[in-house]
Amino acid sequence: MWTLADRLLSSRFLLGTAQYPSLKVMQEVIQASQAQVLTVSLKRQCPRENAGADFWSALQKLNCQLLPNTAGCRSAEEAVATAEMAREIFQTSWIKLEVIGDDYSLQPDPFELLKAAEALVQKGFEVFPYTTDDFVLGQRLVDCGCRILMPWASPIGSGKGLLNPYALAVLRDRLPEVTLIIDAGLGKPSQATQALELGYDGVLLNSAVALAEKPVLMAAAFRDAIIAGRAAFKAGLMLERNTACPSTSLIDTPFWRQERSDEP
Amino acid sequence: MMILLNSQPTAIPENCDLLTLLEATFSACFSTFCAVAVNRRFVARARYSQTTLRENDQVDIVVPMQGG
Repeated sequence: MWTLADRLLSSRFLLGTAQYPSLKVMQEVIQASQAQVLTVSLKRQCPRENAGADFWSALQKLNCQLLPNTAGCRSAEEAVATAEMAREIFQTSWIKLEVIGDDYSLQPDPFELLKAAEALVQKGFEVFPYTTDDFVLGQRLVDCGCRILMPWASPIGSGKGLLNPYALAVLRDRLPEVTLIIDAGLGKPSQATQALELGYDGVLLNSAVALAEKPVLMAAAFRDAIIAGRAAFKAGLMLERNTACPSTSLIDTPFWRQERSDEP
Repeated sequence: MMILLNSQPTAIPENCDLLTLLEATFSACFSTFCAVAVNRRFVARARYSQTTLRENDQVDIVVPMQGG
C-alpha cells in the first residue's frame, strides 16, 4: 500500500480513459490493470444531446478515484477555470494540471503552469502538475504547494519511453519527499519498469494500452511491469560496473593457469 | 440580445440570468454532470440565478469525457 495525496492505494498504475475502441473495452482494461486512479476530462457540449451520460454512468460503476485533467488549456486562466468546473462535476479536488506551451511537442508551458499551480493550491486543489523533467521548475512547483509532480518521460502519445533518465533520476534524488509519477511518453511495459526502478512512485499512461492490438492484455502487462519495477527498487539494484566480473568464482577452476606443453 | 453559447450565436431575453437560460434551453436534460463558465470564468451552480448575462457574453457548458 502507498499514499497518493491523502488516499491509500494498492496500485501504482494510473490509467487514462481515452482512445479505447468502446466503453466496454475501457471497463475491461481498467479491471485488468487494477488501476485505482483514472484520468478524465471535460468537453464543451450542450447537455440536451445527453452528452457524456454513458461515460458518466460507466465511471460511477468503477468505484475508482478520478483525476480530472485540464487538457487543451494554454493559459493559467483557462486551466484554473477548467479545474473549477472539473471539481464541481467530478466532486474531487484532485486536478491533473496541463498547460500546454507547444503544439508540436505538447510540452508544458512552465510559466503558465507555475502560475496556474499557485492559484489552484490557493483554491484548495490537490494539484498534479504535468511537467517536464526540469529540476528547477519541479522545485518551484513544490515550493508553491504541489506535493506531487508528474514529469514527462517523452512527449505525450509518442511511446518513446524515458528519453532523459538522468534528469528523471536527478528529480528523484533531489526531491525525495515528493510523490513522483511519470506521466506521458511510455510505450512499453519495460519502460514502466524502468521508471519504478528509478524510484518513481507510479506511472500514468493511456495510449500505450489503448492503442495496443490487445488493450486488455497490455493493461495486464503494464500492471505486472509496474509491480516488478517497484519490487526491484525496494530490493536495491546492484551497482553498475565498467569491467567484467565473473559471477562464477575462478578459484580452483579445473585447468586454470595450467601450462600447456606446447607453449614456449 | 445575443450571446455565444458554446461558440454558437444565441438570442436570449434582456437581463436573462444563467439559471433561466439553462432551464429554458435544456429543461430536464440539464443535470448535475454539467458545469459552466461565463467569459472563461467558472460560475458555481449556486450562483447561476445571480449571474445576469450581458450582450456578447461567452457561455461555455462542459460535460465529462474520456481523458488521458
